[in-house]
Amino acid sequence: MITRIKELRARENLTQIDLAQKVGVRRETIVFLEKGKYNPSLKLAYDISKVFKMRIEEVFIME
Amino acid sequence: MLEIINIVLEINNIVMRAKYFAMTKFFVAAIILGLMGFWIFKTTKPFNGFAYVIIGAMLLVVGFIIYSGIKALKDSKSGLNPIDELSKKISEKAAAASFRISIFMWLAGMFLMDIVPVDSVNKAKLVIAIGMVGMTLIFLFIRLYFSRVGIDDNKD
Repeated sequence: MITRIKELRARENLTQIDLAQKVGVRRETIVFLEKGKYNPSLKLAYDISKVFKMRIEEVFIME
Repeated sequence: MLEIINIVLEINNIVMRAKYFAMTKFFVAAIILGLMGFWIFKTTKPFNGFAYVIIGAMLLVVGFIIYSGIKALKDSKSGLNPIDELSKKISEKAAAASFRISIFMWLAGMFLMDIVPVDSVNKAKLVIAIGMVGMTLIFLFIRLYFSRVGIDDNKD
């Protein structure tokens, strides 16, 4: 799975800590999500997509 | 306005939970240290080599607990949630892996005790001590490994 979190975060000018605070997780979780080393739960994927005002499938892309 | 109040309350809730989580860890570490001190004070001296190994292992466990407590406190200061879904999943995976490994460790411990000449009462104590401390250490090391490397679900 590929995520566009890093790109979208840069576009919105958000740090990893900012995004982690907004979705209620640790910074490490955002790090592993960006590296594609962790598949988020549906709730977390929804929360992250909501932060970027996008649909889940636009943020998380299945290869 | 309500949305902002809700976000502020949610962050406050996370910070309180994180502080409580960290304090619980420090409390557990203090209890372990206290019990260890009591045991060292009460037990017959001089210690044998095995006792030093157990003391070292327990200090390592306390070190791990204090480290994770400090990390939780740091997270709470940044308004982050230290008990998120990834940390829960890491704990679950580490527990499962340490259980699988410990089965072989218990067997190895029992086999070792059959080779080493020890009286039967001490033999049982030694196997239990090796098993419990070993399981704890294996769990903590695997947990530390997963929290550094991450869980690659795509490989499962």
